[in-house]
Amino acid sequence: MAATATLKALVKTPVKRLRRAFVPEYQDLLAQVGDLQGRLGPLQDLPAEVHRLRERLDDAQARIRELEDGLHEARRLNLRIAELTDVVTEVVLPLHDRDIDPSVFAGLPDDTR
Amino acid sequence: MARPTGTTEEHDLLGNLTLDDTGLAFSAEAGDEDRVLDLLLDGRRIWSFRVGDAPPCDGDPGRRGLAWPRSLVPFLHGTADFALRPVHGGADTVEATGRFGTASGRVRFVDPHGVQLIVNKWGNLGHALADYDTGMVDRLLDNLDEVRAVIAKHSDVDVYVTGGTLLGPYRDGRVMPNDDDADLAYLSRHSHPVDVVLEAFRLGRALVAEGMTVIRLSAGHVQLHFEHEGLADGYVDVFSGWIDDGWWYQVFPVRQRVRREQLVPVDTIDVQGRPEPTCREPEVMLDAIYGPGWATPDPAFRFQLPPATGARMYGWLSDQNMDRETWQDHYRYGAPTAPAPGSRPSDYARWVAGRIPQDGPVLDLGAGRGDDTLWFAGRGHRVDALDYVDTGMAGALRTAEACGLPVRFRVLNLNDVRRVLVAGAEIAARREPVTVFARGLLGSLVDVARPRLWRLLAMVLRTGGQAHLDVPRESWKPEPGTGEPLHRAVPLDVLAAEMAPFGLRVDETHEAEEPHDDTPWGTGPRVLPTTRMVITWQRRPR
Repeated sequence: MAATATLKALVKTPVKRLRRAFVPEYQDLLAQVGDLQGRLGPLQDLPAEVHRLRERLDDAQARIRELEDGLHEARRLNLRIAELTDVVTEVVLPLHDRDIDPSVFAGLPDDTR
Repeated sequence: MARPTGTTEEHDLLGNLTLDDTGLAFSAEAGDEDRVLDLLLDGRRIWSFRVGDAPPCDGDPGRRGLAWPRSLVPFLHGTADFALRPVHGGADTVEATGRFGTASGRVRFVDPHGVQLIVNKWGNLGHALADYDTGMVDRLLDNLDEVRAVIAKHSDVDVYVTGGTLLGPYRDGRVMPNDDDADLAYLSRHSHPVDVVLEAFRLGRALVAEGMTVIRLSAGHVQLHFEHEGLADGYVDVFSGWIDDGWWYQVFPVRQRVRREQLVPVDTIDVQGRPEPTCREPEVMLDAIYGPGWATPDPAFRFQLPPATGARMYGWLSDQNMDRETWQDHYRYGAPTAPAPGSRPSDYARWVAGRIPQDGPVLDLGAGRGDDTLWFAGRGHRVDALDYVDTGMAGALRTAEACGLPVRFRVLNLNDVRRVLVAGAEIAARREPVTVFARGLLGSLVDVARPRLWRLLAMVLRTGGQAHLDVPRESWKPEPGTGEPLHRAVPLDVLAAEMAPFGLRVDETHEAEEPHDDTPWGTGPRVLPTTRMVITWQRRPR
């Protein structure tokens, strides 16, 4: 072990010199790597965040489909009202007006006063 | 107003047209996808499409193949000369002779009266104005003027030409020869869909009262059909329009920010030598209907309906025309070798006949060609025959009249609840038990039509009687909107659950194997597994 440590100490200094000569920006890069690792830390949660957002998107798409269905149902009510109004005025009333006793109207309760 | 002119571009290298029973193939240059081609049969245009409609084939990027239009296929028997002609110029029309099936004669693409047919922009059979006699356009415009007059007499809406009847005269100075109808629209003074629809119903009623044949395609669209010398003679479309909160709506493709004064008071335009009303700014209407490319002739044009527009129109006005044209064409053109009406009752009709009171009235729903109708009538039953379209009944009607059979044929659209209620009330008012017979109906109905059928049954069975309906146990065309009529199995428990709130109960079910030899699904003669249901109406406990 002692021999290995001695060897490392002997090699370390020349290697540092060589590195300084050929890659002078090494220390700066090393510092930047550390800085970037620090900044990337929060991004490690990214897959979980993407997963959470995907779930929200799926939920929103399902809700949009439900809203579109509801909107369609609401729009269809317009036609329903028109059809029923048409049937009452053009079919029901003409068929029954001969049977209507006008005095019955007098007995119909008012809903407001 | 100055008319814009269409563009003409030079292209080349359209070539090597080949034909077989399934479709055509040709070579085209890369980048020619938007080029429009006319398909000519013996020198006559019968269809148009874009090069891009034909996907690459044979593993060769320069080679494209396209299936024959569905509506043309039944006519492809024998030999025919086909050609592809570029619409916007280029000298590279390509031709080929095809032999289809084993027949030895020439292919004839004509209706039963010999009038030449085309494939229209919906993929259905139609007639081009150019293929009629020379008086056709005048008659069509006479009919248009008559419709216009009735609308003016019965309402205060502003009526003007629209669609092709505006586009052709405005852009080309003449009615488009490939067109097959005349188009009118009106601008209502109402703004709420309920009021607009009620007005449209009133106008439909007024047109009927004036003796016209009116077909309702939606709550905002009617079609007026005319005859000349006993034959169908073109039709006039009438589209509803209104402005609500700055949005202009016109059935079916228009939803645009337009001011009322851009549309009315109406102006006039020369249509084949006669002044017809047009909206004040025709280019606004043409742009709204056909898009910014309206100035360039495009026989392959197809409507691209924005979802926001389509959803509104469908929600407010519904669609009362689903599969109608394909049924109509099936009966009109589909089976030239079909047996004479009444000569061959179905297995189901024979089965039902043994279970119902002799001489009792029968209501034949979805009567089709009327074979079973006439057979029931021949056995002494008084029969009301109702169907979505009248083209199937025409032959049976003549037979019934000639033989003095007690049959009444009528059109009933189960997509129109108003007509259903009127028919139901009329039959129920007779206060006699009736046998309802509906062979092959349930499998062809869209979901929204079934409650109307249950409503009708609940009304007519209230005084007794029973309904016999069959439902397929396998589906031949389960997806709606394919250009072929719907045909699908519907589970019995679903049907029973739907009927129950109407007081209807399935008393019996019987499985059967029903032969069908006259279908619009290209099946040929085939046996369909069905379930026959016997349904009665039950009075609710008070």
